[in-house]
Amino acid sequence: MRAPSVRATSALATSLFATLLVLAAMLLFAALPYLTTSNYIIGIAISACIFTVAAASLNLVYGFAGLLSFAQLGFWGIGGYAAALTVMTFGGNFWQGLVCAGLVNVAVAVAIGYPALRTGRHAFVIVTLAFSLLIALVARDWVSLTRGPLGIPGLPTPGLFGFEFNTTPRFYWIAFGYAVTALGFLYALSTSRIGRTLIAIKQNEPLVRAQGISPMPYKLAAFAAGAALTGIAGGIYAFHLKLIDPLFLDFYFMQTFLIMVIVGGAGSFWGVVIAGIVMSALPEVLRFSADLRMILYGVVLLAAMLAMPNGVAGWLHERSLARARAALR
Amino acid sequence: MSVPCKFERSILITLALSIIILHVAQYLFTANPRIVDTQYGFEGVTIGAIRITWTRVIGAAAALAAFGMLYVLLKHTQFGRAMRAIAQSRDAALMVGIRPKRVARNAVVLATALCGLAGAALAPIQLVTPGMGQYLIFKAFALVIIGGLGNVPGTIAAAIGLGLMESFIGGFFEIVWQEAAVFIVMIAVLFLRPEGLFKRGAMRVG
Repeated sequence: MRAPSVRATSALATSLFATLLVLAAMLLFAALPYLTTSNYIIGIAISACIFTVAAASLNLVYGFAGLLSFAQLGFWGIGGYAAALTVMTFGGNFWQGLVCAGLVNVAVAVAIGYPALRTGRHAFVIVTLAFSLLIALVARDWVSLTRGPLGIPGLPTPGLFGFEFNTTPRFYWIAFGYAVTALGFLYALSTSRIGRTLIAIKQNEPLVRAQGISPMPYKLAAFAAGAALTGIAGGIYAFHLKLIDPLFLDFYFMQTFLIMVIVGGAGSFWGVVIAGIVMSALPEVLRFSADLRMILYGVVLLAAMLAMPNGVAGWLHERSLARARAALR
Repeated sequence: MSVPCKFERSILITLALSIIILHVAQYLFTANPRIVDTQYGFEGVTIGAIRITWTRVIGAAAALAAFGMLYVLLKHTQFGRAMRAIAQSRDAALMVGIRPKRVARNAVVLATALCGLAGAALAPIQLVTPGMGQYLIFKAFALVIIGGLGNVPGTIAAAIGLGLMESFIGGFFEIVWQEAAVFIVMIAVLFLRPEGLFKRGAMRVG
């Protein structure tokens, strides 16, 4: 009878260790502006925070609910434009812009998601891809609203109660605060009953139906939550760049999110978060030109799909399973 | 963690291939637009009040010829019969000795060739850039959904109908509606008939 209690203690120690590790990583990220004065490094950290949230949202939709959605790119663009237009055209402030980005995206996600989810998985992928391309076209051609290819330059620095987020380290607090909030929400969601239901839907939808659970509300909720989080991330990123133009909807962003999810491991929360941080920093460290980076991303995506379809997290999981099996034998 | 379904895997692999091809082309030839400059772009035929350049006439002729050959191929050759057989019943096709993998590979080769033909026919009409296909793909996808996945005549009907509708909207409304129209029609079709406008036995290989 001793073995189980030992195992329970060691499991407790592991989870305690993991919690401490996460807290230490959070502290390290929070202290970043005090560790370095380089705006370049903090700029990369801002991108890392924002991209990781977008990748984790895609993970909720693809990794958990099993819906390969290319619409994240469209939501990213809608969020960016909604936040920018709220401030520049409709006279709101930055925070109202973010709220607007989230709400508009939820509305659009429900309007697109409901008809798209009624069809098969094949049609869903195509509809979401067409949606993102449409948003790019609208951003370019609806000149009276989005100012077309010229874009909207000179987005103002956000402020709160008289405090101006006017330097890169100060803006970092916004990105970091949002990343912690959004990732915390996604973690709570993916470890809750809803997260388990989503995985069940991905693995065996007929069985879920047989258990008396209607998959549609779960899928739609995951789609809408992913859209809102991606949209707000897009809004923050637009204000980080201080400019938004149709290039904000370049396929480069979708590809970045996808690579983070695929390499990290679709369906693994921490795998995608770590991949998001690493994949944001790595291209900067290796200093590729933009063209070469895209080619390399394509090669990485191809290699990951052929060699490790479940990403690094899936590969580690399989290895530990294999070791457990070997130990049993 | 389950192995991702074959379909998602193939989508992501083809996406990766497309990104690689597009950006290698951009790396080698730069993103600057180029013009295919021929006499056919200036001269044309005049029918009543309308003048059509030869490039467009040739493009339309190429499309008609390609459709005709595709029809003959699907209906009257052993290769086309094998493809339709697999679409109808994979198991039965296996039983009479058709190899699905091989037929699917041939289908991909055929589709790639047709896509290349479309790009070549379009090159003298538009500017040529590495990303010239991106916005066309958007329309192609929408048309396939409207016509019904795997329904060739349905897709042709949808293509002609939407082309006319687009030109009509482009003449009377802001340009943004011209782009949005295709998508709005697609969403409406999905709402009313999730199987596509022209429901019939779907034909898809692989």
